[in-house]
Amino acid sequence: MDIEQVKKLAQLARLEVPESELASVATEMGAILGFVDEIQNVQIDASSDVVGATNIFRSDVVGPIIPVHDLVEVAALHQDHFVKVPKVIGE
Amino acid sequence: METITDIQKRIQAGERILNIAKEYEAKARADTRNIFREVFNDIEIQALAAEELIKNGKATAMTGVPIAIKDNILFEGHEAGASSKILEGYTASYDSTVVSKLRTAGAIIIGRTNMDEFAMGSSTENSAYGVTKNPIDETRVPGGSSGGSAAAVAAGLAVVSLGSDTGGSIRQPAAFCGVVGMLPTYGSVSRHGLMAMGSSLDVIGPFAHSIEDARTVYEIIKGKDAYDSTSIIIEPSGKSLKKLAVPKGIFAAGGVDTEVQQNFESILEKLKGEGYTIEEIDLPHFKNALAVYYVLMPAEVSSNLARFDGVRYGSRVGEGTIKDFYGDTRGALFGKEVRRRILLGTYVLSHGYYDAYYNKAIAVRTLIMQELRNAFSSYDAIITPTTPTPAFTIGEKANDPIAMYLSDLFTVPANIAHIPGISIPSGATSAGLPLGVQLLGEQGSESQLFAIGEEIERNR
Repeated sequence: MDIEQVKKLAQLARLEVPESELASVATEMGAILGFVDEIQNVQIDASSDVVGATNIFRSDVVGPIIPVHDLVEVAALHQDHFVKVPKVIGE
Repeated sequence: METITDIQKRIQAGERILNIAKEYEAKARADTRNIFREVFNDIEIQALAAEELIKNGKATAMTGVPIAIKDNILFEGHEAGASSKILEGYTASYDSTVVSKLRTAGAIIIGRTNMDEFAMGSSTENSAYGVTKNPIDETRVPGGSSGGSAAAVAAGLAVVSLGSDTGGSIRQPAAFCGVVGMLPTYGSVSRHGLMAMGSSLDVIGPFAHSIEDARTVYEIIKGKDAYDSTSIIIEPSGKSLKKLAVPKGIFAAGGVDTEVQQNFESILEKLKGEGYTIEEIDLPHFKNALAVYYVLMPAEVSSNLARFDGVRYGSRVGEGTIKDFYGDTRGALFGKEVRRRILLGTYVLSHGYYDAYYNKAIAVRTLIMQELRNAFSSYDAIITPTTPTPAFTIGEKANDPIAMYLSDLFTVPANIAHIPGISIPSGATSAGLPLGVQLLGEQGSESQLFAIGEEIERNR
């Protein structure tokens, strides 16, 4: 893991990493990836599906709902029934 | 320290719940160990509601019992922050299912407890609001991530508490603080209203002074929930072969404290005295669970924490386009460990690495699940120490992520395999630090684990 890779990941994750931390983050991530690399040595012959995973369905019925206002008012910026964000189109 | 039964006796003797609740509120407010993020302001109102239940003949085992909840569990109208700056000031818009069930049962929710930020850590040192001190030895960590909930019970500030366990976050702090901590079967307790960390791993469970109290809380919070489609109705299982298995070679890798090993062996001797057969079992991939965990968990973290972007919850940092303030908000308000795991998760899920890491980890997970399930055809439970060491000192592992991760070596396999586990106090080191042993059982074998746990309780 090098500094350029960390910068690229930070961009993908929408997570600003200060310049001063890039080197230490790269070192620590490298160490963790070194640790998890032991899974590469495990021989797999079974199917890789998660055991017992099944789909769950429910009927589409109207139940009690949380008022929109209660959910919107916890947003950083909001107006009336809306969460406020800068213009996205044209970015 | 009072148990649920002690509280029931006080109520039956005619004492007002209001007095009991106020007594616990006062103790929690006077705490100097940073156990609570907040002691709630409506304890009196909750106590009066509990008294109404008794008056109306609707009391339950939990009515009037003071309980603390981890700071990642929602309680309507109360702040919840996962001990993170990014959620500062966030107030829950609804009740989590566990809180709703506890309130219906008449429990008094006295406050929210400190934790590692978004449940990422093994010591509470990753809380944005400072470490919690272990009530048994204040120079040491209480474990984590549910360290505040474990400490609240250990210090007698709450009778029982709730935590969440993704890789050991209930069982490890329970062992460090000398209390019972339980990881129920994956899906047996609704996670509606729990802030998600690793969705294929997270389970809510109780801390208590006794197995009996842990069972009482578990019986109230469990059950299928329409609001959580991963919740299931548990089919009770478990055998009574009186046979326990110890994974072969768990002490061979090193890193296990001598006193932990001695204490574990003394517990095994006592169980043999109770008629248990204890055998070593070959689980060749048990040791790979931690590596699998550190691929799958960060991957799930990077997805689950994408929702914290300065738009819908908490605070926002920076201006300009969403691209600018997303990065600024998340970079400034997430702590170091959270940022590290998001980046790691982004890496293992990215093009070119997905097969080598994420898919490979899923395949090894399947292998571990099958291996453990096979083991339970011949044994009632697997038994291990809960942790390789007793509680470590504050700061000891703070700058060494992998050393910190290794404290979950014995607890992680249960989350990987979706099986239940319980940590039971098993004694103390010569310096007086609590130790715990862990029982792991097949899915739905909670009753079996409680029963074996009670044998350990009687014999420790």
